[in-house]
Amino acid sequence: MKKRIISACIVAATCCLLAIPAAADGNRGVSDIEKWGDSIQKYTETVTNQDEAIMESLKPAENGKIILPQTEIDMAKDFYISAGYGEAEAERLALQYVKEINVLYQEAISNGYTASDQEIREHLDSLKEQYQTAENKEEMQAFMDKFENEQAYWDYQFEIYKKDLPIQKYNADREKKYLEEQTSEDGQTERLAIQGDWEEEFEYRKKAAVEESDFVVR
Amino acid sequence: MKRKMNFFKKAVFVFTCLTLTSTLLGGIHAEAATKRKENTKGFFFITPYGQAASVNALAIITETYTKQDTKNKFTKRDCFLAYSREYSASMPTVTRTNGVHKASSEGKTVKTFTPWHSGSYLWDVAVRPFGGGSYNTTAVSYKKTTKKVSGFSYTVYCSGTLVPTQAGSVFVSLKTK
Repeated sequence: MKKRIISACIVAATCCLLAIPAAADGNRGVSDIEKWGDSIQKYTETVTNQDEAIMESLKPAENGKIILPQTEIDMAKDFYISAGYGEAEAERLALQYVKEINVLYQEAISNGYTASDQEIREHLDSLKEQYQTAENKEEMQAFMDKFENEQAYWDYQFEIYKKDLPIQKYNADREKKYLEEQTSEDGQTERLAIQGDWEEEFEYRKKAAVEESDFVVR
Repeated sequence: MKRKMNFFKKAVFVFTCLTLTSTLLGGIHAEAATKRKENTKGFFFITPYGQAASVNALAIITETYTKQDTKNKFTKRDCFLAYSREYSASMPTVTRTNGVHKASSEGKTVKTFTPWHSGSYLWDVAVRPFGGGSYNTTAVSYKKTTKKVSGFSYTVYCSGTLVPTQAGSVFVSLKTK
């Protein structure tokens, strides 16, 4: 009997220990977003006023050196700090992320993928609609609420998508091509099964491209 | 003569079997009905510059059943999921679980199934490039007034984002009139 009571206590205590971090994680999501929403405000003006280094990084890389804008590195570092990483790890992750984004962007434009102002506006209009029905719209709203007003949020997004949209278009086409190559002509059933293959392939290509590139921080 | 009789008997036996089978199958087919539900859900992930990676998922659950006196016999459940995604450096991924029966939409799982077979599906790959599903044919019977539901869940994960894991699901009530 005594053993059973002790066992029950151990099980209950273990459940409590497991439940506390899980609950904390659940609550952390929106608060992390709010924290980073606050943090990003110090960059929004620089970005929307068309930061010189960021604008330069939107051009094809000269002499094979890809520009990593310092503003982007700082922003990404703050992002990872908001996500709970320590200073050194946040810096490492930020540099890696900024390298990846800029390598992908250079690949995208060298393959003919661009985004006109009109395309970006249309994409943002589509996002506005999709946010309304998103499963996690409260998270998106929590982030948006940290901007001066909704228009300030979309103005900021407009600048960010100058780099992001060509990459998204480039990725979508690469993904489509990969699927077509891997899928048999008589059916589509394998498409869910090969998603993991493309994910591995994408990560591999991205890392390889970063390793093969030269960068300069501005 | 005896040989001819044997052949005749065999022929009558085969004919009777075929007729009975086709009548039986025809009868079952006539009473087979389905309960089906689909939903479309959008998920967004905020990435390091504040831009979004996203997933748009279509989930469909279909239960096939035959009507009995006070019960229904559920003979097949088919789970299908298709999705599209937009991303730059952080790619969202989608993982589907197998279908289950739950006590209610918010309730506990009361029945899991095995084995699952890959199904054959047609969908618009231009809208949602990734998709597929599976079905199980274990028979279970419930009262027509049951509160049980059938369906499946899926998770959408995007590494390197502030809230990397989100969940979706589709469940259909197994209650019938």
